[in-house]
Amino acid sequence: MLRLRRGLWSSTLEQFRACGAGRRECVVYWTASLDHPDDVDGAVHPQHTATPSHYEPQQRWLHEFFVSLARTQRTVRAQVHTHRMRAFHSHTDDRYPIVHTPGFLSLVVPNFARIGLRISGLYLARINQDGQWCEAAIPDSICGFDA
Amino acid sequence: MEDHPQKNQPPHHPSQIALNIAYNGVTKTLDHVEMHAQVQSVLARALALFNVTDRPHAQGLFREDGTEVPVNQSVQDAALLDGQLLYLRARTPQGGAHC
Repeated sequence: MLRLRRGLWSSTLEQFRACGAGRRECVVYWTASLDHPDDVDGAVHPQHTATPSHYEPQQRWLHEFFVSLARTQRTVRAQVHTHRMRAFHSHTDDRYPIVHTPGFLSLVVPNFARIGLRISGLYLARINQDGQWCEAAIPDSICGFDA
Repeated sequence: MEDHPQKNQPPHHPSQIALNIAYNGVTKTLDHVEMHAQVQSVLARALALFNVTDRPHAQGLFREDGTEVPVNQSVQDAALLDGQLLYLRARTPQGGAHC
């Protein structure tokens, strides 16, 4: 069970709204220390390209991010990104996650995270022990949504 | 005149090295890496070390400066050194509603 630091969900949504501007997808990586990997206290917004239906982090940023994770003993626990309309895990989401190990989570936020979002409208996927993405129940996986 | 037996010996080239591999913040050591082994096999071992369940060609080993270690070379030809730190990561993570 991931526990979100107070205010982290709100700041994630604000990031989506500021970057995506209701017109483009956006992504944030939720991070934690290796000592307390279930306590998510970081929301890292990558330098990325984006369209209404796609996002991709920039290569240079991506490498520096992985170097910084190792140096600071931190780890990515989930990727969180927006879709223009409904939340689901697309073929692209399945094939190109930033981390591909069992237990990794991917949370999809509908409607470009516009105001009025409900937790029930989110879609959560988890990589199982066989390396396959499966839908996961949010109440069983993440707590600390504060908006 | 003093004897210097080590002076004329050729430099020592180990047949095996150890590599440090970092993935998602965690660093582990890959021991007994043969110098003549292909980097592709090192990548496969690194993926297994971290239980990465993705397709091998979607992942790569990167040096500190961000350059990728070509998989179609030997460890020796790639000039990898004993104790060197490499970063294992997805080549092009991305996502979105577009399938």
